[in-house]
Amino acid sequence: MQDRKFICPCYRHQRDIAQTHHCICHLYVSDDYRPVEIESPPIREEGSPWPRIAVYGAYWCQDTARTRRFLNRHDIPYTLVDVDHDPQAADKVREWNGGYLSTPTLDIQGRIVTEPSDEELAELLGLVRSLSGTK
Amino acid sequence: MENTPSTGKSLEVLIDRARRMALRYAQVSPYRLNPNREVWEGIVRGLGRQAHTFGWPYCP
Repeated sequence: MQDRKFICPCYRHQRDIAQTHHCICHLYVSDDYRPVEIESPPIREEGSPWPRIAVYGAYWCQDTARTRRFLNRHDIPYTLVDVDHDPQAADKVREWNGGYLSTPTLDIQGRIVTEPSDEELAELLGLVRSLSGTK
Repeated sequence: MENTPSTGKSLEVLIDRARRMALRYAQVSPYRLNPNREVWEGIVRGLGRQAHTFGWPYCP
């Protein structure tokens, strides 16, 4: 079914650019746009308490950027797999997501999580408990 | 490459169509494309995939 308002350029791009200098996917921007740089993943050290995490994402994907910023902020190591440059990884993501190349898809030590919110990720990684001191 | 059932076009054709649309809109609107070419090319590929899957280039 066709939903015109979500066809690019989507119905809210003018409002978003007026407010944040970019549309929701960062395709169109205003002259005042300043791209946000994302730091490299924290290095995994021996004896790290965190599970092994692979983030299957895309450089341009804003949800991938959000997830990376979340992991970086909490100093959680992960491996970034760019599905645009790794066709085998892209196939794997499609297989996990019923044919859709959903990004980010996370492999958290064998548990596949698709497009988690920061809150979901915090809960999955036990951050909620550890932050509240009940872990 | 398999053609999409809804448009009968290949993914490459739909990505090229999305790219032309994005470039054209940046010409006629007050906005410009993301200054990072890798970013906007990636989004354009996403739009092409949306068109291939759903028939329309929905915001990715």
